Amino acid sequence: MTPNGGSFWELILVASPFAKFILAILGVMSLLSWAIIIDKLVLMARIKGANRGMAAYRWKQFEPRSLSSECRRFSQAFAAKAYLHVHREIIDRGGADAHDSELVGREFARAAANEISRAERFLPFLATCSSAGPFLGLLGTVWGIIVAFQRIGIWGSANIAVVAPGIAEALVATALGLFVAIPALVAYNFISTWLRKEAERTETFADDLVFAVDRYSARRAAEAARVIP
Amino acid sequence: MRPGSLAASFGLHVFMGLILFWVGIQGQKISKALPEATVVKLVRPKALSLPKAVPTKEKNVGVPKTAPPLEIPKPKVENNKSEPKKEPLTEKIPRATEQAPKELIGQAGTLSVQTSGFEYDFYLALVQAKIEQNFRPPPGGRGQQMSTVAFRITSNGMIGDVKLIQPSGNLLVDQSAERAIRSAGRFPPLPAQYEKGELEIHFEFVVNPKKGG
Repeated sequence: MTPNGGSFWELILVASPFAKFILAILGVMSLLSWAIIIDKLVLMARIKGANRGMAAYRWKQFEPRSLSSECRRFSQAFAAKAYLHVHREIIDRGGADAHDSELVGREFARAAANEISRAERFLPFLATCSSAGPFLGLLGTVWGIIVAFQRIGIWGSANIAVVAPGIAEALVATALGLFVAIPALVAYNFISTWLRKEAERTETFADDLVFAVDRYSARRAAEAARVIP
Repeated sequence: MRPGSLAASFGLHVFMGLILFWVGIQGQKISKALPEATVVKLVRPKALSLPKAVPTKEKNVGVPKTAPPLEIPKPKVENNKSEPKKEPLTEKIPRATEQAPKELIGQAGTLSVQTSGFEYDFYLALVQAKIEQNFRPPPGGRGQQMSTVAFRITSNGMIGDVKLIQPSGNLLVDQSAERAIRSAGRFPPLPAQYEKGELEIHFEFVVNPKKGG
């Protein structure tokens, strides 16, 4: 028997009800984990372009309004979303502490953490799939092998022709478990690394922002001092 | 999570499933290409009232533990017209005309010859009995399943070109059918009067036949 598709489907069809149940769970896990993978990859592709745009911003000419319009252009980036939040909540209100760099920095950090954790949503499911998939498949296999041995007992002989089909049938579960686990594992590592880098990027942005706001408010204070006398 | 990605994931899975299915169908197509042949039919009736009764105790198994004694082709006389001696079943055997299929009904099945020119029923009965002896369908399984295997017997009795031409849908049944022929090993040489060098046979294995079918 070659492991071609037809026999693969047939092996699934002749499997015992319990094995079918396990295969069904694995199928749902595969479906959901691939949905998450596709979702995150689309998000990643969008953010990549926006990040490039944000990196081109010239901090030396920082001015809250220009940065906010820049952020609106590249609103997919985490830093842009966080800054828009800060702009809306603090700078635009124009209170006495509107240009307090410490307050801006804190608010920005919180907003950025919010955005990152929203992007991390469902990611633990991938980790679960990657670790539970093989085990679930193994359970199906062990069950199938138990059934196969019962068959051998009924047959009263244990030549390879009797043993092999049952074991092939059982091993399908492990194969499917690995099919679920491997993409989930690779995608989890890839996506979580990417998110960690994104978090670092927003931290760098936060440092730049705090520094720029500091300089900006100092410049404004100097201008105000020049105007008053 | 966007519903779009769930739909995309679903589409991906359906696509991969279809690819697997298509690959399987291609594999079957390749094995179906075969020349015209003699059709031999083998059915395994559970409750066939033969003198050598099949042990009916293991009904859930459907397979006799010991191979049934092989006594069918005993009357190995040279007259070609002799029908195999199976009293309760002879009425089911149609007269062997030139065109109509011949049928031999054995303990494990029927055997029918479609092409004219091979009239040595005793030889076919021998072939059938030997395959019957080696046929061990998988235990369990529901409903009638039928798989046809084609093979060739050369003039010295060797088996060649064993191919599954009509799968039953149950892989295990198909495998056991093919194995029955392969493990028959070797048949007696073809009758000397038969001019053609070899004999193409299609063998139809039936597991769990419907009663009266």
